[in-house]
Amino acid sequence: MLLPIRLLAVLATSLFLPLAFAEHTNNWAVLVGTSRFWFNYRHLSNVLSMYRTVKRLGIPDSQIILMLPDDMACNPRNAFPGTVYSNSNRAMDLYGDNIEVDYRGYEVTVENFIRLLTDRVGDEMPRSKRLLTDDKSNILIYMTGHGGNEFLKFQDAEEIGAWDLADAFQQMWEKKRYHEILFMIDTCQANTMFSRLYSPNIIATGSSELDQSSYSHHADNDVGVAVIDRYTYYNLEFLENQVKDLSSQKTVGDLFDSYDISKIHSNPGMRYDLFPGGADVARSRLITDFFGNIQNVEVDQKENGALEEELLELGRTIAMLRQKEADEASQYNNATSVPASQPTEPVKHVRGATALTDDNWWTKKVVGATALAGCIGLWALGSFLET
Amino acid sequence: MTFRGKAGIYAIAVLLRLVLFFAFPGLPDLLTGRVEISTPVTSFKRLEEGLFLYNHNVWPYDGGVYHQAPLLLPLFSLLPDSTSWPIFTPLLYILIDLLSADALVKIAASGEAGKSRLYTSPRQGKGSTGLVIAAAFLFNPLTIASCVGRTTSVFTNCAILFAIAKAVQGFSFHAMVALSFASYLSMYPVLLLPPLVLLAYDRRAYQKTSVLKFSALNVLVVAGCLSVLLGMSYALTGNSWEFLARTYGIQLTLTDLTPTVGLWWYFFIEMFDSFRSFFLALFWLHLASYVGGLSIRLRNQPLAALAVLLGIFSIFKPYPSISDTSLFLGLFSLYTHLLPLMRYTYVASATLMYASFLGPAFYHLWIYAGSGNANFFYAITLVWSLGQSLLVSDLTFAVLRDEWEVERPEMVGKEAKQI
Amino acid sequence: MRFSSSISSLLTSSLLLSTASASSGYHEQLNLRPLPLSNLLASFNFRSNTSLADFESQNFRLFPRSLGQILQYAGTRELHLRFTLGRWDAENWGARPWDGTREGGTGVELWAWLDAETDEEADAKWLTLTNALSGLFCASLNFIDETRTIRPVVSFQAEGDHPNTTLANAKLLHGVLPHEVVCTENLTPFLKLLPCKGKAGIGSLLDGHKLFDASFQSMAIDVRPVCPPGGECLLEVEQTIDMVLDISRSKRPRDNLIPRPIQGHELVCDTSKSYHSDSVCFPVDHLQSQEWTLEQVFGKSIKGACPLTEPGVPPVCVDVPHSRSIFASEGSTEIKSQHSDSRCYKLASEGDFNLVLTQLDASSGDKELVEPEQPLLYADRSFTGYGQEHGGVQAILTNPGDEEVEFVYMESLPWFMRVYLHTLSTRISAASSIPTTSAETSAEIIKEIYYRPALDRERGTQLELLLRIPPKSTVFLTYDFEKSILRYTEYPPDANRGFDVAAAVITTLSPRKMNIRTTSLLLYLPTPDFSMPYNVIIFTSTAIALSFGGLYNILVRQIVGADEGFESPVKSKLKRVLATITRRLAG
Repeated sequence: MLLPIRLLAVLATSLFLPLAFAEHTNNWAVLVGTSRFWFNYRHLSNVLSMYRTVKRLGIPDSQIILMLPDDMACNPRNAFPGTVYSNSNRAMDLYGDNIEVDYRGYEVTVENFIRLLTDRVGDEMPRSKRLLTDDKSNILIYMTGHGGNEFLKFQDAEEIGAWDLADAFQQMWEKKRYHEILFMIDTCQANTMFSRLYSPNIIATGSSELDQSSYSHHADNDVGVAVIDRYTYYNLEFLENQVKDLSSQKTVGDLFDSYDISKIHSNPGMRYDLFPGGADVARSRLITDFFGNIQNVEVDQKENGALEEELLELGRTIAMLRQKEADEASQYNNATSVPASQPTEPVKHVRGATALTDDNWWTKKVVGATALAGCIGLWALGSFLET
Repeated sequence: MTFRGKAGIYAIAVLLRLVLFFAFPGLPDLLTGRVEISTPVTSFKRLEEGLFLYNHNVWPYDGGVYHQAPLLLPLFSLLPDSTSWPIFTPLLYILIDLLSADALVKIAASGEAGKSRLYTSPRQGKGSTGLVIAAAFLFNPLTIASCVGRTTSVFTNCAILFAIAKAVQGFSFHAMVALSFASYLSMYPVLLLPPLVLLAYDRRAYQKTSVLKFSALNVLVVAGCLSVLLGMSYALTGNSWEFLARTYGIQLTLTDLTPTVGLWWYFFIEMFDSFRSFFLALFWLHLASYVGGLSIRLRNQPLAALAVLLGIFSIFKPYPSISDTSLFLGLFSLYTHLLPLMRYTYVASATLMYASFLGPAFYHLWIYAGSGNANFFYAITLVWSLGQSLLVSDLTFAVLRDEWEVERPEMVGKEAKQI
Repeated sequence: MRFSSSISSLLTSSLLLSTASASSGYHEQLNLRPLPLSNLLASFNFRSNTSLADFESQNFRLFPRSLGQILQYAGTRELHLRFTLGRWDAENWGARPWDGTREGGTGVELWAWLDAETDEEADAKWLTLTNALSGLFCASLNFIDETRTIRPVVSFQAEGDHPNTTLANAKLLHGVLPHEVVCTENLTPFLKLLPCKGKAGIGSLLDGHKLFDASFQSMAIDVRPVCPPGGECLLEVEQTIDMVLDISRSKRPRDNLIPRPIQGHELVCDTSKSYHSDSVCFPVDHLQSQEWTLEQVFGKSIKGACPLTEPGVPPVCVDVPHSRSIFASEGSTEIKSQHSDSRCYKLASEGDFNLVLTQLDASSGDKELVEPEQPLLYADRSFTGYGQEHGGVQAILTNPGDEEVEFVYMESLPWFMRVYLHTLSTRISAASSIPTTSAETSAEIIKEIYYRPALDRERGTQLELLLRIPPKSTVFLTYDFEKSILRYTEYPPDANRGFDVAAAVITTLSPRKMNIRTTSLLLYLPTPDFSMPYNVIIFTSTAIALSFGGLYNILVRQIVGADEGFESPVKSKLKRVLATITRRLAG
């Protein structure tokens, strides 16, 4: 009799818990450029402007993964060394003095990107190159480059397909590696790239429909190439003018409403169906939920008395650990000699660089003569047997 | 064929090669550098590198340059240094060419091409004389180029020809020893064992043992010889078996993708990594698959089976070169009495000429001029392979038609087809 | 012989540092030296110490924690990491700063002594070290794998004071990445390792916009144990940045970097030319001495002194003749050196520091700059040959001095350059008339060769030559190689750019130890057609199928007369249909 009631109580609390903890506690950004070569300058300046935006709104470098496949700032063709501009008025240097690029050059590959998202990396991968998210992380994923119908080109050598991306996101969902994702993509036919996503809690937006290209905004005559793309330019215009700091209450819906097709010259698309609550709830999310670093706090529901007991318990554990360490240290000091570890298997001596020496000349000649004699001997054996 | 005739041919051949070696000082190195002549497993420059490392106490198989048999190293180190005494290496290669030609003459003189133990061709007397065959082999531009380019596949060719010549003369043990030398140097001659055993059995002086016993004995001889040679190599390379991976392993896994005149290199450059081992196994299986069929179908003429097999190997082995083609053409000249039966001689010869002129041109366009890409040369290798395969299948058809005309003598000169 | 002032100034400063470093934690020094053709060499040097006991108990104060933890985790005894771009013009600029010991080959060069008993253990620790450093320095150091790593035998000696047992169990590994880009994201963590984090002291001058505009720049990090006599052993991390700035280019304003033509009336003309007039001008401003200030050249001034430095060591030193006048900011004190052409400045603890060097009048006869010291050896390396099949490497090594130089020439080459060592040859061309017999030449120049050949896809070539050049001669060192073609997936995305070959490292043994590095080389390999994998597979399979099928048919099918044998039903039906049609058409 008591059991069903207990079961009901557990069920009730478990129902209420998700509602109580629906907010995220940390923000991450994955900013991926996928184009190489100088004439794709604008793709890297797209990524770098997004990088500066999320940094301005508080996301620290340790929670930003920046992937730049080529070097524009220190490129010998760059008339402005160490500088990347996204506007021909050259008001802001996007590269600046303080930048952390996590994946650069040939490291930006489809395999590395998917391994980053799913965290299937080797032990030696440093923490700054890993996406250490949990189920309370909101992630902004921004990709830009050259793309097409359900694919995105990486460095002119390989492609990632829409299904690959969808599967990667699903792996992230199953491993509880995100709370909500805002996926932005600025390429040609960008909207096709998120058409295959099937994991929940994703808002997706892209710069152009199927069979539509995305265009660059303007070029700088001294840099020599186009410096920013239209979709990203108008996104930045909104973010810089309307979202000035973390207290901004502008929503994702405001951002999407600000898209003017006559200015962007392509039809940006959005996808809300994966979000619980549909378009209304998705559009009501704050911009700073994805672009900024708002850390909501998860408050423990236990009472204060329990807290004090926990602290006491913690104190005891610390004391015990300290005592253990002191014992071990004294044991180590008392040890007279450390026995040499026996190698379990014979040490294999790897051949290193050998010095060229000219001796053994006569030995070589003797060996040669022996080999020749051996071969002739085999032949002679034949004649002996045949006769 | 008189002795004077043969000596004359040999003398002219020697003179021609000496002139090419010494009157044009840059020619040997130029030819050694050409991909049509030198392959990663037969290049003379790589042999020199291996020799240099061997003479200076560096293990020559530690690196990815030298892939040839270990016994070549002490044997070549017996020769004086090639830079200070540049006469000995050319003399060695000219000698090998002469020995190969001599073996061909012996094969022709035995008349095996026209009349084997189980089959006599109606066109028996209409073939070429030994003199013509020797001249065709010695003055073939492909043979001369291989000799002046000093490729080490001439040793394999010589050993194969010796094996056939000894088998034709009835000395089966010698034949097996020669075949094991050839297999030790390059891997593929071991696939010639079945037809060679049949040839030796057919040409034995006495007729006592059964086929199976004879084959088993000869296989044992080959195995024993090979193990002796491999054992000597083992001892030579510092008591380790690692040289196997660096010599035969290279042919099996094709780690060196230098362009050749064959089909393997471009295929395995563009192959995706996950399918690489499957296709390597498939290509080797394909190469080995011709042996059984040909040995059975051409049981009556094992020499013809050997000729056709050598033609196939020169197309489909992992690192073919024009010296393999010159070997096939040398054996082909034994069957000139079947030329009227062949259907596509003009097409095949035109294709081969086309490929041999355009091949170096397109290679130059790709590698030196930069105005062509790899596809140009690849297309020529395809044409070369197709032309050779046309020649090989035409020869097979002619041999089979010849056999058929013994059963149906009324069809001589008439059109025939296959169903 | 004139005692070279630059070397001695560096020596004095380093002596000051070393005596002071034993006692305390952190020192920094900036050496400015104008070079010919209006260049300026700026050498920044930062040294931090920590005692080994502090290091092991993870008590980091001045020693950077991030680097220290990496070293502990990877079991590194000594570490040297270099990021270099550009080329040191030895003909004009003379001997390299720090005797070339603080520079690397173009790109990234890393060598370390790792605690390992077996080679496998060393490989595992090397993997850990390169990956951890790639995360710390935002560089693709994780690409330093076994194909780019060698184990030098005679080229590198440990710089620190190791006990003998440690060094016997330590393995030296050396890795290069010649294609690595060096940019602001590598400078940012470099500055974050400093105690003052590039916000005060000479570190505040470092700016990516100027550093990566330099003709030559090198960032170096060296960690080694130092045991001063009579003191406890310390672990020292030394960070060095050398850069050669073009003064006129550095003076251009940030927002207007493109050089525009100057107005006619601003041109400085050579009036001694016969054709000089109002409309014809021979510009000579490049020959004039430059005037510059620290703020103009670096874009900012030094923001006060770093409070963590050891007082008593003046941080900024300028190597110019004493006759040249320099103005410094208020609050700083100038100390002129007695035995060399150099003067140092102590900064005020607060407030910006700027130096102003005025233009020297050409007619006054005063010297503008200190003559650069002649280097011990000039080294150049280039490719010979043409085409994408074979090639050769030629190294031109010149000894301009009066003493014989003995050195080690080390090359770490990628595996797709198949080196033919039997073609290695030397040729000497003597500038003076010292008679040398030809027999003496080639045999005597190369004394020893240490060689580890390359193995396809596993290791690169390691070649170390011990060479000896007589005085005033040039040695041409040549060898042949073959360019191999790679698999489709082994080409980088920009395959037609070529592959970089690392710089050759020259370590002179006598008369004194120094390092020189040649430039890196760009190797063009033959490329397949990248758009054609499926086509190639299909074509080759078709060729094989055609020949197999043809031969199979010939072997298996029966030969019959042309008119005999049964016809296939389809063919006979077709024939009947065709006959009917022709009959109908004929009427």
